[in-house]
Amino acid sequence: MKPDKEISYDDILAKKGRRYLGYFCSYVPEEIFHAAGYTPVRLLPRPRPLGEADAHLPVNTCSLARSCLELAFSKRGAGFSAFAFAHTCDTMQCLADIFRTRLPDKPVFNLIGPVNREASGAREFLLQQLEALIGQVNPAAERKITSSRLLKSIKAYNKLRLQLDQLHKKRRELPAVEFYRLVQAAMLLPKEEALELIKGSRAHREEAAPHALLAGGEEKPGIYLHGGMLYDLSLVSLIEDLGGRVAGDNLCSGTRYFNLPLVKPLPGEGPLEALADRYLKRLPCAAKHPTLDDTEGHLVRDVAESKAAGVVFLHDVFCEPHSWDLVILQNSLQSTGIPHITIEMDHMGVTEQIRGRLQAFMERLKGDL
Amino acid sequence: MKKYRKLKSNALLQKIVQKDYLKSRVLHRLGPSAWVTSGFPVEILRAMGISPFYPENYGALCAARKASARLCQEAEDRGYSRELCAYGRNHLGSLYNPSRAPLKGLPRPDLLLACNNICGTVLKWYQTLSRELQVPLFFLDTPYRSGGDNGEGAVSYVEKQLHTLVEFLEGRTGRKLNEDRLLETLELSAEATRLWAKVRDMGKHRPSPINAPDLFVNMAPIVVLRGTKQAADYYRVLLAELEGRVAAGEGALLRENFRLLWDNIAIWHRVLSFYSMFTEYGACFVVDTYTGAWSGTWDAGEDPYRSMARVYTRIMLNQGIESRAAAMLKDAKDYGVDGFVMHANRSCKPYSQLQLPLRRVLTENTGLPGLLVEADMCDPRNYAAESIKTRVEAFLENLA
Ligand code: SF4
Ligand code: SF4
Repeated sequence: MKPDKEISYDDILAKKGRRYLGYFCSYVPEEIFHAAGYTPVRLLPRPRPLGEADAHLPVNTCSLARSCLELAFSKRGAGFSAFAFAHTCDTMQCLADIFRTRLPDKPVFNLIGPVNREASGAREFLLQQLEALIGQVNPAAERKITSSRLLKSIKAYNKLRLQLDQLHKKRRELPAVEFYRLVQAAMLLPKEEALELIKGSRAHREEAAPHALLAGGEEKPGIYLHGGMLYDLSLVSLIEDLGGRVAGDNLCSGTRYFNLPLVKPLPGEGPLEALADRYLKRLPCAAKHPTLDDTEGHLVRDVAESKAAGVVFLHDVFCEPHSWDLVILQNSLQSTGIPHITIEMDHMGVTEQIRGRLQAFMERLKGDL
Repeated sequence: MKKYRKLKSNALLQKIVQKDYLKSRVLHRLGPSAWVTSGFPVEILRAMGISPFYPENYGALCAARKASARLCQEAEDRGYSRELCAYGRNHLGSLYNPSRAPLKGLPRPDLLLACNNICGTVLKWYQTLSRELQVPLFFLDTPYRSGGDNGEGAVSYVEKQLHTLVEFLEGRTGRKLNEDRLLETLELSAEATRLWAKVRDMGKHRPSPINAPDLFVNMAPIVVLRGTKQAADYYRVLLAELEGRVAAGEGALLRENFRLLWDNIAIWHRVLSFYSMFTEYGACFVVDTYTGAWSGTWDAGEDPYRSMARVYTRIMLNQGIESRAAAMLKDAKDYGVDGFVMHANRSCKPYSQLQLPLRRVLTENTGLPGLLVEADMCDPRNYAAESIKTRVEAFLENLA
């Protein structure tokens, strides 16, 4: 697999000899499944022909849910041995129920963790839930999850997160499509394979092209991407074609996948406590109860740190949690004077209208430089 | 020709609800008040003399008074997507432009209290309110009960948070919770809940003395007056009237031809016109999945906090598809229905996103015909009157 090529589910699932776990969200503790012998493969939204999923979900359901249900029902989806959810938004809540009842032959796991990480008893409850999850995975898995296996998996994932974090810090040197392909590789491929790819990438070979500069030598305007899922990278290519660069992001399929802290057991505590602590300390997603600072505070700071000139919100109109946050975030960027634009995505690729709007936005940013 | 019997108790209901509203308006000036979600453990507030106001219930009222479309628009003009729950949009609209809102909007609260046992939307909605109003928010996290075995663990988690809630309320209002008052309030709440369950049970009679639109109107006390004496008193009156109907062999409809099950929130902006299409055909909604949502009762044998935690995590929308399917199948049988109507409610994802699979389960298990109507509880712009009429009539003619 090469980072310049789109990674398809066909290719992944065609490889025999592994037990693939289709999983939905960065709150799913992949380490637990990895330790049980599963190969976790993230489910991402793809351009989607109409199909069987429409008989199960109303039309105002986000395209992530619809296209992944379609995948699970398809012939290709038969390659998954099991599925895993983590409770987040109302749609995921319902989708997990649909998977469980419509695909009765496969285990469908669901980690129902706390929504409010600051609630009293949140950590204790989460620990119980993680233990319960292990109790469910063990009978279905090919090998039993032991503490040492889990620690080994945690190590592997920490390594991967660290590599992705380093890549993220060097993203100025790297075409954005390549960066996101590598993040996708980490989510989709066996971890060992993904690590090799990342290590072999241009950024790591220290032969990075002066990718961030315009022909005249000045810095390209940086764009910060904010929203849920991004799978089809044509929009990212377009930003670069229009003379911009992607400086940073807060996406489910971007930095929210690997953001630190790492999973580190505290002295006297075990791997589950460590997994719980990362869950509670990581940058929360829109469906969790964040502190005020997690939302607009984090965005404004992260935009400044990444030296982005403007923000592009990638928005699925049917996504409730992000729709609510969008207004708050737009208003706070307005008041801090950071230019921004909202692109409505249905994961059907870049339309002429999107191209036109993005072009105008890029012209504006270049004018501001 | 008249086809429907009006409930006499409704005049009393109107009086009670209005009186409570006026009282809250006054109390709110004298003491603390809070905006709360419909599934919040309000007994604690009542016992502390904190006046609760219900934005969801206010949404139903605005829709019934034909104000919700313009209020939703007010929110949309400020960037809120038309795809967000209309209760939320309607409420924000009333905040942005109270002059266009019924009752000039809800009185500004001192506190915001949200619980996700009905949906995750309320979390985002109340976060927004907290920012807009600069009012502190307490968020009670009641884990979804589905698939996994989180029963007792979830109850313990919620129980802990209830104690923190009390600390939060005491800290913010300077009032102390009197445990005896709490027990009294819980008992009043349980009494009203038991009576309300009996009211809903009356639909099992043939003909049914009650129709779902009656239940929609009469559910107000179980939601907004939960934990008060008025709620229980009112349901006693209502129950007596219904028992009188049964004794006289009178149904809610003058002629009951079919018995139906209703799923999802009422179409508040069409409570008369929508349901009268069914009345025309003598189709009575003898049972529904919505008004039974407030059915858990406190167990006096258990610690009150633990018991509340149990009741409030078991709210219907917080249960997985299996429980919902089982409850609907049981209702279909117990109430002897001839078919079911599901309101695919654009606003409410947690309620509506499971309906297609639920319909399949119901049809496969009962062989009963089912109709899915796409509409919205609060946004009348999501209601295609002509096509709905055609579909409803076709369904009813088929039943006949
Ligand atoms: S958070 Fe949004 S995009 Fe993600 S599953 Fe939920 S509704 Fe869909
Ligand atoms: S209508 Fe549905 S989405 Fe809206 S507040 Fe009620 S439960 Fe939540």
